[in-house]
Amino acid sequence: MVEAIAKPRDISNDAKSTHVAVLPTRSVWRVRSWCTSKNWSATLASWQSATWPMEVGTAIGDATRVLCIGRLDWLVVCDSRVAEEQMSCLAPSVEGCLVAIADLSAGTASVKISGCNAREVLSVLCGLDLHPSSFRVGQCTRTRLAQLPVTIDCLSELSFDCYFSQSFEKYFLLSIEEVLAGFGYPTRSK
Amino acid sequence: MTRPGPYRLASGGRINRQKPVPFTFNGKTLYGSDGDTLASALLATGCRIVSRSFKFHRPRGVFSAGVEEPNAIVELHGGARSVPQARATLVPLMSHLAANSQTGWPNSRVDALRLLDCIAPVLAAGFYNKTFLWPNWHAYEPFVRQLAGGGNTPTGPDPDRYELRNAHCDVLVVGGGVSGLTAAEDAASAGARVVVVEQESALGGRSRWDGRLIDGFPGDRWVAAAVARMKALKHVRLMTGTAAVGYYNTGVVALAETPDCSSPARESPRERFWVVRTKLVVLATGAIEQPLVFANNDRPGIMLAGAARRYLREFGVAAGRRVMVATNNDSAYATAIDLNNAGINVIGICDSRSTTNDALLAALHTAAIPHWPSTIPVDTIGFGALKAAKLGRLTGDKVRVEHCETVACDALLVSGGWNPLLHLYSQAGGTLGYRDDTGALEATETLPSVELVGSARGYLAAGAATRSTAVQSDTRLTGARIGIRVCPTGNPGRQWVDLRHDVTVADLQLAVRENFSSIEHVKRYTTVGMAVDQGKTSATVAIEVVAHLRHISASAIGHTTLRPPFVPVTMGAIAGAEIGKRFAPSRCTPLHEWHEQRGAIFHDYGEWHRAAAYPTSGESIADAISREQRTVRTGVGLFDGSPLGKIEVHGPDALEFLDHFYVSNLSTLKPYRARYSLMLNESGVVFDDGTITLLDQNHAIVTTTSGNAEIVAAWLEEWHQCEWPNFQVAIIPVTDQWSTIALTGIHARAVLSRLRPDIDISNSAFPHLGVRVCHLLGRRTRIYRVSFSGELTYEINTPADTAQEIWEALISAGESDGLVPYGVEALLALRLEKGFLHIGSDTDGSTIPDDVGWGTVATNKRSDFIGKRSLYLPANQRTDRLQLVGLAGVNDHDMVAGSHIRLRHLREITDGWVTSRGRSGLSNRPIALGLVRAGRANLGATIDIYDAGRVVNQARITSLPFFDRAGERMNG
Repeated sequence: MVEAIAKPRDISNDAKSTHVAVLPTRSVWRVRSWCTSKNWSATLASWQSATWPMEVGTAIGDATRVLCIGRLDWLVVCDSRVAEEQMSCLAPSVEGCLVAIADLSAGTASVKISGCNAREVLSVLCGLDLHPSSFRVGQCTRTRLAQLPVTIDCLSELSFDCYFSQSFEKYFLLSIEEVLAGFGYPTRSK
Repeated sequence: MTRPGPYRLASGGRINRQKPVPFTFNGKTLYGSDGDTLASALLATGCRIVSRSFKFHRPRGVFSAGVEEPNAIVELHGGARSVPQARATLVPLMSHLAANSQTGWPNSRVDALRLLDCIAPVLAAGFYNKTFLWPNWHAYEPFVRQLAGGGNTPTGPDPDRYELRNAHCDVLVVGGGVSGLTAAEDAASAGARVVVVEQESALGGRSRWDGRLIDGFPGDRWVAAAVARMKALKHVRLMTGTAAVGYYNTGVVALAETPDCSSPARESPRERFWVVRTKLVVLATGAIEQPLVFANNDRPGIMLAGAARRYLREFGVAAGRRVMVATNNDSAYATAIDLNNAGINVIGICDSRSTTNDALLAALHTAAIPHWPSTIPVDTIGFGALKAAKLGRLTGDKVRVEHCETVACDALLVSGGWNPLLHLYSQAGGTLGYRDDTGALEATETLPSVELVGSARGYLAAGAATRSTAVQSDTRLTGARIGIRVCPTGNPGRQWVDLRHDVTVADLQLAVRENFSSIEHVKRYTTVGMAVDQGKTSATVAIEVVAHLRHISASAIGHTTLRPPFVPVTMGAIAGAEIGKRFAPSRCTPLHEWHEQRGAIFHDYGEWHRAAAYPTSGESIADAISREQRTVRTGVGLFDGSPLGKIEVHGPDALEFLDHFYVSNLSTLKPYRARYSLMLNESGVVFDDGTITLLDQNHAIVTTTSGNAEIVAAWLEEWHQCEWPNFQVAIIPVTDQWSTIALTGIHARAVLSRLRPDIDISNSAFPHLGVRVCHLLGRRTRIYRVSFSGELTYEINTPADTAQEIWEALISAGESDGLVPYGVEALLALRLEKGFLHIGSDTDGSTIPDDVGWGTVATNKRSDFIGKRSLYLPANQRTDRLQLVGLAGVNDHDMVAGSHIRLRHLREITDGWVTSRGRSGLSNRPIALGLVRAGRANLGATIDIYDAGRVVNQARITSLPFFDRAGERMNG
């Protein structure tokens, strides 16, 4: 069961169907602004070579992922070491420029769901249309998944990252395990 | 080899005669065949009486072959898996299925309660409203319910599993018959994402068995080819055993799927509930055959003609050995001919119309089946089952019967026309109109989100459906105007309209006589259409009868509301998997495992699963709470307050923005200071409290009650986005990021100092309501000098992933001072002694700041804030409002929260209630808080405390707090 698993951990491992993994604590930052988007792009260009996503529901980046989860509202997810360095550089340069930065790393759980049935597993718990034609690679969304507020990032056709409050982790994993069992997928603790 | 039942034909049908299926009905073992339904198997064995009627306990047999069945209502399985009110026509026969009639004493074949039929005139519509007046209805209710025989609810927890799924599509096709498959293939070929749902276990509808050619192919071959083509498309989902049960706003359709019916003990879920969001719904739902109304039209052996044809062609079962057919339309002719071709003695066919299609007459002539035009059944004869039918010749004006003839028969197959199934269309907002020529309720308008195809479009319109070649063959509903379907003569008290609820024409007459004119009122008075079949064979007939009685057109009557669900859905399916641990989301603090290891007792506080107390070995929870309470008062304790809501508000306007939400004046708040205040809604009602802290001019932090963190964050966001978008602020909830550890008690400072914080924590440098950002064990923390216990408290906020390290360090550092962890219950007892407000417990949906002693603060604030204007309403200015006061027990009896309070000098029904209760940690005397009428004006008064209408206790109204009035401990 979930309680017995230490991070990093898998609760299922069936490469042909769905793979669910609780990721080690990542660095997660919430960045919000109240200024105009044009200023934002210019400011942030100095931090990352690419422009930040400005369209709500889109995400860019690889090792460092920036999700635009609302108007002038981003979630920045990356490796802890890199994030601390980058965010510490970012903070002084943009804090005077109408931006708020909050570290949510310790309070955010991150679960990767991948495999050819990943969309189907997610759609059991979520009312959004997750069909590839509606929820494409590079899109993200804030929604209710298993009755919880969850941010879903579509990394590839078959891979999704889910972010939610860490205090819900047991409940979330319990829900996912039950769905996997409903599909008849084997679950395995590691 | 199946033991053939007396009514099972030697050949024909789609069942597998080589595979017998044993089952029990009313305790008797019977055999059906693989592919049977329970109804077809019972018919094959010659079981005529399947159930008893609701009110008069008249014998009832199988009447239909589908969802409309009003008679063959049975109970399945029994025990924890008991399913009452199941329609035998929809139950696939499975090995060792156990079914019973669910009514009848001593059994359904010989039911002593049939005596009720002798006093039927007394039991007219609404009789229970008129007779069971003394002493009241509830005195009779158990007895009446027992008589009605509604079946038994499961005897234990449901052992089955249920699921809820979501799906999205461009086109949802409801109905997997020829019309539905044609429409689905058209849409899929155009690239649409298509879902096809079919209630039965196989696609194809009646084309599987009625023998017609479609596009020149036999029906089953045509269906197999269409299904194969669609299965090759990735974006088509075909779902059988799935009923569309309701249409809801914005294209949401609910489906109920029964995935596996092969065994009552199954691996797959018993039922799966689907929420489908679609752009277009195509209704290929078909139509339901309507009955004819004549005296004693309810006897076993009387069956819908279309159903008898299906039993013959799909299940190889004859409805009887001597069969009479009665109709008012063309469709029943095929039944008569098919039965005749199967070697069954068809006595004849009577038609209430005077003229009939020549081709049909020629076919009858070829089959040598007698034809009675302008003839309608008048009455039937039989006791347990049908023995003969009395047929009458209609006069030219169709208002009388002039010549009657009695015909011996054991089956009377009736057809009163066809009514399209338009429940989803109606639920989508479409209007229905009664058509005199078809005697049916049909769609009167087109909807952008719903399209009708096939016979769902109506009696005369089926030929104009989607693709001509396929659908023209599905033309059973085309034909001339139907004849009358209610016999003009006969005892109206014996003419059944609603077979399930025993509603007769006489009941409808009574309703109209008593001035019920609306069909909705007639429905509720007579209960017509309110049974398990929801009026699928009675609603249209009732409209026709009521229209006739009121001498108006049936189209002017309107119709009753076609509410979801279309077929019964189990509560388990609606709940899905959200039961037990998944009933609602639950949250755990980062220290949850530590609490578990220390033997904490956990309670749910809102979403949070929190340590209520830490009983030691052999200690009761009450003793543990009391011990923890005393230890905090006299020593030091540690509390996990991580669920405390925490919201960061950034931006140059942060403080001004927050000032609009709290009753306190925040403009004077200095950096690194906290202020406690109340938050109101627009009505001036207190809905949250917490502290507001300023870290710098651009950064404020508010705390909220644990259960309100998300609500307050959403509240701030809503006002920012909708009302005050010009405030330069950003709101970020951080509850989970920061764990809160409260170090409380007179030794708290000493314990904290042992962790060597890099700040001065003396009272002068770090006073009450101060806030500091510092390092503990090298970790960056925020420490608040706030207290909910009334003791010196350092609330240490640390990132959640460091919480356990700091918690354990504090436990070690406090060991020499006797530090103990304390739970939520001890904290609530401590705050009770101080009279601190607990939102939700000490307030309700009408409590304003003045009621809890904050009137002056709110009044003195000059700037505007949410709810301020409402505080000046006359109702909020009254002096006799309920006010929060202390209640000191005058004896040693505990008070009970929720108990009503009466002031002895007033004579009101209630003068308030106890909101929180407990015992003083030091004196061990019972204390409480209460909302009391004009409480502050009645300080010192003795009150009576009521429970269940009796005075159970007394208390004295006191001012607050009970303890440390000067606040020296908290400020020290």
